[in-house]
Amino acid sequence: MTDLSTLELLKSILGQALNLGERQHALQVDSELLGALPELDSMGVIHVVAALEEQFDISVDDEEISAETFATLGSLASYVEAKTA
Amino acid sequence: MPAAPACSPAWPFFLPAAEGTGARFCIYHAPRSGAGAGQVVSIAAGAAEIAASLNADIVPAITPATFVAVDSSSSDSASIHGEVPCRGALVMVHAFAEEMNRSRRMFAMQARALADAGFAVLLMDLYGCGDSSGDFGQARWDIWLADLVLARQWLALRTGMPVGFLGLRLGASLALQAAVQDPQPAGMVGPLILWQPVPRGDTYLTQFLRLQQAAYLLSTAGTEVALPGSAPAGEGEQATTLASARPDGEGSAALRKRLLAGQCVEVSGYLLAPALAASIDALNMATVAIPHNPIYWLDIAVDESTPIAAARQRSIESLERAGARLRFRQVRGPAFWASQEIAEAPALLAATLELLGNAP
Repeated sequence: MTDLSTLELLKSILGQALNLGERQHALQVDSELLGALPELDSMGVIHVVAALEEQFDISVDDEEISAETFATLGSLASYVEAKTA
Repeated sequence: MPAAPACSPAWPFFLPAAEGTGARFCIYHAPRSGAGAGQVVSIAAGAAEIAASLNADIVPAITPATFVAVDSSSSDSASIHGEVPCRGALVMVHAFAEEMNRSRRMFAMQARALADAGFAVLLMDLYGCGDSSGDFGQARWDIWLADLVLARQWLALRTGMPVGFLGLRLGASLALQAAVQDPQPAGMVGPLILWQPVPRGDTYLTQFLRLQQAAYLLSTAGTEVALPGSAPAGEGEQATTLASARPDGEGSAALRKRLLAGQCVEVSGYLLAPALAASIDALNMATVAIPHNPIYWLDIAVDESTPIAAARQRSIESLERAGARLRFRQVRGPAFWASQEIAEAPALLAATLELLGNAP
């Protein structure tokens, strides 16, 4: 079960990294990210990874940058929680 | 009806650089008076001739009437007929690769705001970047440092003022090193404004190399996202054909191996040479030489009160322990150097001006 606070923190990180503006608040746990958010281009993906590393003090491996991790807000949150557990 | 400006607000020109490296595309913003009474650029006495020889045929728009020669015995820059005297001078140091392109608007806005506040500003495209000579694959860290030394000299001759740097991201690292490499006498030391500095070059290089992997990821996701030089998304047969044109999904580790083996790697349309990669990899704020200049570290975050990330905090503390005169400020705003849509961070512009205004 994804922690609500992780979701909220992730929304603000995504919002700032991708300059989503008001759309940040519309993100839900099942909101699709990769391939669905036009702001999520290659720079966006890398910037989000970098922001996650900084904010959560984790180290993301190359293999973990995948379609599965970035499928939805929920999958990203699960990934972060697993890395910070 | 508002009056037209007396001169153009910014002067583009090409500045000849070190032997064999061609010229650098520059834009100079002279300090402006708010009333639009015309632009006054002060030049230290004796330097006018040198400046003229440097700029012969380069800035034809600047006529002698727009210069006010400063008496060498006077410590004031021009303050005649209510025009804003030159308060200081800054060289703006752009970010690396695509971050440079995405931050152009912010740089232009900051340059104009600084000029309106009475600062002389020089923007320069570094070697291999923007409209300057050289291909990106030929760029080297040492050439970039030499470019900044040249820029500082040019602006110092033009204004007679202490020249500082405003660097964004990797540009901040360059600015710090340029200040150390080219130290100025007391009284002529300008401020170093660092926008979202990069704490560690190895982390930064990994992020840059991962762009290749991210591009591959996106090309295999549901929606085709246009990449530089790629064809638009197709259907059926066309999509199959596109598969062979997709970038390889090499991870950062694989690309690092190739760089170590002496191979250039192409990432996001940028050809990265092993020597430049090695220079970036070696950067570390924790071990950097400390310049005498006052340092203003500005971060842009989700909110002003967002806790500073551990790695950034460590870098700041390292600098302070090593004796840097450092002030930190965090403002709220988008990561404009990374966002796809051109983004603005007005709070950053305001904070920068405020810090410069209160500079000793």
